[in-house]
Amino acid sequence: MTPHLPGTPVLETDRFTLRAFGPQDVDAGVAHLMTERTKYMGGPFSKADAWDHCCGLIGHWAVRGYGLFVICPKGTDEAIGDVGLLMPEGYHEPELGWGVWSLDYEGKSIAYETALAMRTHAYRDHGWTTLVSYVDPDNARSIALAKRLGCTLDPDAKLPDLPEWEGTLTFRHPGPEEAAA
Amino acid sequence: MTALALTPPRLETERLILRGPEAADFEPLCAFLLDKDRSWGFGTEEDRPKAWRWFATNIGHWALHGYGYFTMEWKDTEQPCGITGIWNPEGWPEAEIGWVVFDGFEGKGIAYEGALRARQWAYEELGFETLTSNIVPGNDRSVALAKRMGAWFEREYDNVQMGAEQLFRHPPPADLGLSADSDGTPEAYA
Repeated sequence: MTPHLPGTPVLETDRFTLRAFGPQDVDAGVAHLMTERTKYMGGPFSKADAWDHCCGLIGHWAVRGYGLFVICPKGTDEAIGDVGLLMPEGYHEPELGWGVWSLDYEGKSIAYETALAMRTHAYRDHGWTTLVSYVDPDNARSIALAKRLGCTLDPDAKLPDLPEWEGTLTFRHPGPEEAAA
Repeated sequence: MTALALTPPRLETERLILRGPEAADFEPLCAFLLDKDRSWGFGTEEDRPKAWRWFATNIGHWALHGYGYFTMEWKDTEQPCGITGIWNPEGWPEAEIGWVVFDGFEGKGIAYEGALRARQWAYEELGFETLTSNIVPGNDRSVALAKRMGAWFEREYDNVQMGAEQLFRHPPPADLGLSADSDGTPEAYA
């Protein structure tokens, strides 16, 4: 059984189990947030800020009823990345976000496979009709992934009310019908 | 809010309920955190997103540690009137008792009443054997409250988030006539 926060969903893809980011993920989450890999999301963070951030991810689940999942290879409970639905204060609509925590796991379509599952989850289980992904203009890998997911740039989308977000690209995902087609 | 594994207890004092954070607590907390005049000694946040992040972090702190900041509710009106609790995020020297009172509720002794209850809970139910309060130099009101609670100045140190802080040490449970419950530490049986 996958240990997970009560009241939160567990999703399965071909290769991965997705469950809510929980207290057991904080050590790995902190380690990830302290690396250069988080440079497009405001990192790398100090250990103290990373810990606060991870606690905030757990709180996000409690307040919103959805949030960030960790990606675990099936049959393990080892988090190797994250994918999820984010709506912190300042956002005008929920975002589908993703991150793979180690170079070792890049190039394996992990973010693609799990982001697709997350989008299906958002449309099917939450009844949402649209999603965005915010991407730093220098983050070529995430731009490529957004395009592979069928997203298109939405220059009219309202960016979150957050400092230093000018220039962030908003990719709009295909809606439920388009995505299912 | 989703249930998660958060089960902060509901504690009571003469005039207050101490309970876990609820979604509706965000607005009064946010007003406090953005008000520099009131929150400088606690940690002023620059904007609503950062205040929300603190709010969410506190919930995660509860999930991780089993303790955190309670919302203090003024019994008469059921309004949130402040927060108090036990705080021990990454980088802290050790667990501390903290308190703040929201606008409109000062001068009633709320912080003292709530913080005493939180300290009693931490000693009796969590099994803490010592507790501190970290106070920014110049925050005379908090120093006075710490002393009223029996705490004394121990040392100054550099807090990872707040910079220079004075660490006040609270009296241990035995000095307050408190001990861990039978489901707490083994010492309860001694």
